[in-house]
Amino acid sequence: MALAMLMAFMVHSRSSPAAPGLMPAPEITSEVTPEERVPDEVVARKAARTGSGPFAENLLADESNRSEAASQALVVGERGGDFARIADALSAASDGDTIRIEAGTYREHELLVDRQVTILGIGRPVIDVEHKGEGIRITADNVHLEGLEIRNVPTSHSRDHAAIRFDRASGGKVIDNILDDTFFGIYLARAHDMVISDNRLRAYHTRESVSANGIHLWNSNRALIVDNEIIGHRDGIYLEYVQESSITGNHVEKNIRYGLHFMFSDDCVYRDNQFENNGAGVAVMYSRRVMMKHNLFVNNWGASSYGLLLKEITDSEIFENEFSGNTIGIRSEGSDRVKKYRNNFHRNGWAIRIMASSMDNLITENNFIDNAFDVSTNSRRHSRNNFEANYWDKYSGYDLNGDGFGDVPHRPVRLFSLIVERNPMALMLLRSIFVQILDLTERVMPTITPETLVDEKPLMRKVAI
Amino acid sequence: MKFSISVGYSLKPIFLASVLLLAAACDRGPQEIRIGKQECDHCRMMISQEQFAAQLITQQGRQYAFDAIECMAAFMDSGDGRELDIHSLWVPDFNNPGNWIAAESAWYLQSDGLRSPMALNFSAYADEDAARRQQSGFDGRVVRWKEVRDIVRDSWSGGTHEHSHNHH
Repeated sequence: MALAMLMAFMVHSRSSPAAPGLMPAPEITSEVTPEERVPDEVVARKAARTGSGPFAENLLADESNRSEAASQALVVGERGGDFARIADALSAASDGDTIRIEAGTYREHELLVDRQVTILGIGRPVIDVEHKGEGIRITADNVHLEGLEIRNVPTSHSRDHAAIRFDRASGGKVIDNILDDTFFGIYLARAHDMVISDNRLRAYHTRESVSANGIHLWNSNRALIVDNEIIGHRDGIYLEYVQESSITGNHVEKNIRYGLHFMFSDDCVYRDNQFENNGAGVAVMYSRRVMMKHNLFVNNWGASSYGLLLKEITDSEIFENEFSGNTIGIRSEGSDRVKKYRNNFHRNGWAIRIMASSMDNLITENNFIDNAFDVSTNSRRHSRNNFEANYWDKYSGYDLNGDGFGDVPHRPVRLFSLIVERNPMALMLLRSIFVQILDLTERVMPTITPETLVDEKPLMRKVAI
Repeated sequence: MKFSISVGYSLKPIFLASVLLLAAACDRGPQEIRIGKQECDHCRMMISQEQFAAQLITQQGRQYAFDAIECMAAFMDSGDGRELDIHSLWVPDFNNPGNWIAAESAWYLQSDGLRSPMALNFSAYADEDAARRQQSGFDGRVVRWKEVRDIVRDSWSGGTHEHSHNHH
């Protein structure tokens, strides 16, 4: 073994100047790439926000479909203003009006917005629901909510109380609001083409049974969920029957179940998000064509926790993500034709657990560094997944022809990991001499690990990502 | 003499206790589901809402837990589920989570107004009255266990994936 290590070291240092040859770029076959569409919109929004005056006014100025002449501003204030109560302003307003709510605390609940208005908080007014029911319910299209703080929405096991609910109302915007101690935060039901950005949601539940989701979408398509901060809910962001939506730049932390949860939601993109210290990072379940790019999955640590769960996912891509400090980086079950490339797997218990039910996955150009197990599977049968040209810090081969690829194939599944799959208690032996001998034996005579789960040309140098 | 009597007295409760313990070990009734810690044995989702969680107990006394009633029904038709020696099936009383009802004797409401974790939206009740009362508040249809299994089979035939998306 010492000799092998020495050789590996020599070869390493000798071949280090030679960068790996040009990799065939993984083919991107997804037909729908909402990813292409999203950045422009995000950039445009950022630009609008840096302009003078409230973002809403910039937006309003752009929207020619509103009739400028007819619209009026209604002011709600504790002292002065046209109305003392928000509910009164809402029932007095007409389509196209703006309701300005001045700073103060408004003890109101079940506010119904049934016409196309813009509601602007000036100096962050607080709507205290006092645990009496829902906060704001919107049933009209193109409603814009900005600058509010909504507090104290009660939990319930049969009613889905939310701070803000859009019910069959599309084209709305929810921007820069603070939701504090709510059950559901923002709930979209059959609300399409929505923008949810720059909101801060905070709940304080410690038990799943009495907590609900931060941003919850059901039967709602083409949503943009951008730059929100979501802490302490059941799932940070939950999607059920959602299509062509984009989840970008959110910070999702300390949620009890998942940071982000897909159910039956196709053709979506999530990128540049940070998922930290959630029960588990992200669960993508029963969905097709999901793009997962440049996210951070960190410290999802616990007995069966993971950075990313794939359950019956097809034709999707996972690239340029960072998986670090998770019990399991990616756990894949019944998921086919998923490409995982240019990801960093660092300091995980298992980098990838890929169940035998998963087929035709391509895993290439990833870095596997300091994981207890790089790849694990539950079957010794024929693997139908392609591991090719990854960097494995455990690889001890050499590159005599200097083409950047190791000359000896690498088998990333440790024999011991198969034993652990069958008997989790065996994990206690991880650092024992017995297991080291097992690993060595398997390296010399690879007869027991899945014979086709092999990286035929492991990279000699880390992929720069 | 005195000695042996006192032993007799002190052993009796211990003997009784051990008989009870043994009986408890053989009891194949519903077991605790650790909400938020236990994964669904069919779909792998973390079980998080006790008013929808279900469980199957095998003849050997092993528990299979599910995040939703529909997951238990689907599991029974799956390869893993068909191989099991099933002892009993349990669903939660929606009005009193923690109280378990035998799946075959429960009454079910399938309603979009009570959204279950796997989106087929079944909730369970101890009797027909309770199910009908809930139906008057949340709409939907009241069914029995056999129909639950049929509906799950129809909705998820060709994999959970192919579940008809009810967009409108």
